Amino acid sequence: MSCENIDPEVLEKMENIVVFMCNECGQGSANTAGVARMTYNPAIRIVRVQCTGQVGPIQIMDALNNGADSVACVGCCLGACHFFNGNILSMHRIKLLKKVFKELGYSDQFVNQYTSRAAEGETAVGDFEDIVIRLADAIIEEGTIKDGC
Amino acid sequence: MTVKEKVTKIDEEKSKSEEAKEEEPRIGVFICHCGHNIADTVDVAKVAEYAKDLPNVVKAEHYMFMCSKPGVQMVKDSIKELGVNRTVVASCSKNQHGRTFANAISEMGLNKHRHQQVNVREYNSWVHRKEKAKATEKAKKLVEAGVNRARKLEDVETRRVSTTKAALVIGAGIAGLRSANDLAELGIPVYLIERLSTIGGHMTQLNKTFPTLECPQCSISPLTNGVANHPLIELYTNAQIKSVEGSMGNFEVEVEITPRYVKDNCTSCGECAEHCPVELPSEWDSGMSIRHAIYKAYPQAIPATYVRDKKHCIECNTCINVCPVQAIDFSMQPETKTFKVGSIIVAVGYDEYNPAEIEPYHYGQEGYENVITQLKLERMLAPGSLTNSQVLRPSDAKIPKSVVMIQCVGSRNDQVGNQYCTGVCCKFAVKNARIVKEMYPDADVTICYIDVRTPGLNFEELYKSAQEVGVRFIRGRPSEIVRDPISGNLEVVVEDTLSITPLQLQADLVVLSAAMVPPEGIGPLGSKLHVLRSKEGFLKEFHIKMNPTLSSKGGIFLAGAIQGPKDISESVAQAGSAAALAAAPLVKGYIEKEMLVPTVDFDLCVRCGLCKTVCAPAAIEINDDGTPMINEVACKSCGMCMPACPTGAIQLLNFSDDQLLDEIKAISGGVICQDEL
Repeated sequence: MSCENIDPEVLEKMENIVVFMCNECGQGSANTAGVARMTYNPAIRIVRVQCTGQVGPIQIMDALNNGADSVACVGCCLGACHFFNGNILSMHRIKLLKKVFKELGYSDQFVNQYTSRAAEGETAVGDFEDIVIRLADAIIEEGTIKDGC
Repeated sequence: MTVKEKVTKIDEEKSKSEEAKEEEPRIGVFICHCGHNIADTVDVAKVAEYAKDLPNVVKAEHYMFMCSKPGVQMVKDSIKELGVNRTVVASCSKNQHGRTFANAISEMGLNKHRHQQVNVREYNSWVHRKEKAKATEKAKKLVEAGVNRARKLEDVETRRVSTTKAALVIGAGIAGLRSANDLAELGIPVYLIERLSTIGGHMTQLNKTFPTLECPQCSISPLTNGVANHPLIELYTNAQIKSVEGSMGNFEVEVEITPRYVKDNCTSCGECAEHCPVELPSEWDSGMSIRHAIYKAYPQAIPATYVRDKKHCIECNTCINVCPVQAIDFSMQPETKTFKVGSIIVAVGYDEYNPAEIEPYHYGQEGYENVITQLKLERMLAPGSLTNSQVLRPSDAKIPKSVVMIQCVGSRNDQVGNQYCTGVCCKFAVKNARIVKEMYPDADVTICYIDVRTPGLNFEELYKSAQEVGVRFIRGRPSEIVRDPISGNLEVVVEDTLSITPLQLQADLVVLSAAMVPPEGIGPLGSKLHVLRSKEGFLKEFHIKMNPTLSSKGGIFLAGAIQGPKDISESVAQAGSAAALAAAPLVKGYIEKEMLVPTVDFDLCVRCGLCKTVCAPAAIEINDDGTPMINEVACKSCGMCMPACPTGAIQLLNFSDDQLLDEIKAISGGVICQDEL
């Protein structure tokens, strides 16, 4: 499934998707995507953090609490974290958070973890598309997180 | 430092930061057109208008090229004229021009970290070129987030940390020797620590080095001699690391040195060993010859002084009586030395995998004496060996008529847990097969392989030359080595997967190409050094592509096979790189470190120690009272400790939860509501 097949009505419900990108590969890949003039959904908003390992449940919940439709962390490839293992830590945290979401009765697709490579803009754009697709599915099934509030 | 002292220190810092907060933030916002790049998609005038109304913003302007001289001057002027104390520039990425503006404001006397770069080109105008209205909205939000973030930015001081001009090299194999020598040539005093009694490592055990079939002893001896006699290198054999304290630039290492029980006036005459009644298999010779309880590992060994094996010595005192120079002294005691060094290079090498674990190959079992490893074959072929450089079957000392080599023993094998390819086994197996075939043209020499991996200059030629002399290659991993119970002959059961034929190869001698595995004792050493290991057990490099020589901790570097399986040339290359990297801060004399480090609120801290567990560079230490202490020099500013803290007591400067919340609020659509806070 690609983003083009998503119902425009669903797309319109996505206003803010907060993406925490690490200072290294995350930011690098988004920059590369920009330089290559790739396109993605304008709802994607990037927050620069030092490492995805810096993003905790506080930041993710803050974002959702303040109107984000979905949150994602994008770090370096597994095994290539510039601070050693922040991406793996973040992956574990998000895995746990997904469980919490399910327990609370929300879709676990509102929060996701991705990796990207600074040299390849496609990786970042692919991550963004995946966020949008997963969010679209979640919205169709259960409505936006704001509806649930 | 006690908690009380610390708390007062923190309190002082707090009052300082409160003073800083009293100074009202005056934010200057500058939006760049970047020619057509931004302005064509984003309505920059609207964004500037929007930014003007944001709290604390005293100036919001847009300009054609912010990075141009007049653009930078605009930023500077705003500081001079309007008293702007924090700047936000919405233009390209931080990597591209973030530094330009940060330097500009530092020229005006503001701290570099008071600049906030907002990327509205790569993250906005370039990727949303068709959706102009939405891009403008997004730019507004991004700028607002930037302003919110800038509001609470604090000064980050840059501190100079002086370094100790000395280095420690652990392991005196080829990699350790090379780095020690290179460091000493740069004028840095080096302490070289070796666990065994001699230096040279695995390279001295080899018969010939591929691809040129050179004598390794001849290649390495200038280096071993050079290192042993270098005025700046202090060599300690029989030495092991006891503890490592400190961080990048200033380490304090405790080393425990076991005595040789032979004084330096030993003339290396060998009288003592000749009369020693104890006989043991020689470790250096991979058990292919015997040594005594007082011994020299091999004739060319450096240091040349004999060494007594206290564990196996029966204390008959024969050696003391026969020694012509009275060099032997059983009363010598182990000593502990403390070295202060600035950098550490870990070059402890590898161990040959012990194939006894693979049951079907029966390595080391009774009746299977003719199953040996490549290192044992090397020792057999080497000059001056017990077999007089001939290949003989260990069971009956006959020249084998058929030799079968089995590749990938312990590597590329999920069952033993090693997925990696050692990468050098194919090369040394091809080399040894060719040497054996050339020595005994009548013998059948077969290599059972999965893939022959001989990349690189000259190696394919080596492979070809082995094929030309008549070495047979069979593609297939042998399932079993079976022994005829009556004759005692061995057969290798293998399927030739190219012709799909099951084969039973007669083998007088089976040589296992065992993998390179992390050396014994690397676990305790790794934890003493506070460096992290990869899942295979080797020490993990900082970044596989960008810095394969630095370990996970600053100031500790890796050289040679401890970072992963390597051949000699690769080890030497990495050792040189490690020496250069380790020398840089020592030659310069100081490290410049931006103190972008976390601070701990001791009122909130519950002394759980979780921050320590996630800290990859081991920059957090736990005091006796359970409070964390941050080593500001070792910290890499990753912020991983922040989410680990259950109470939010640990906060990274300029990336605190509070500061990130401001940014998140703007970017996720909300606005800062003071009542909520």
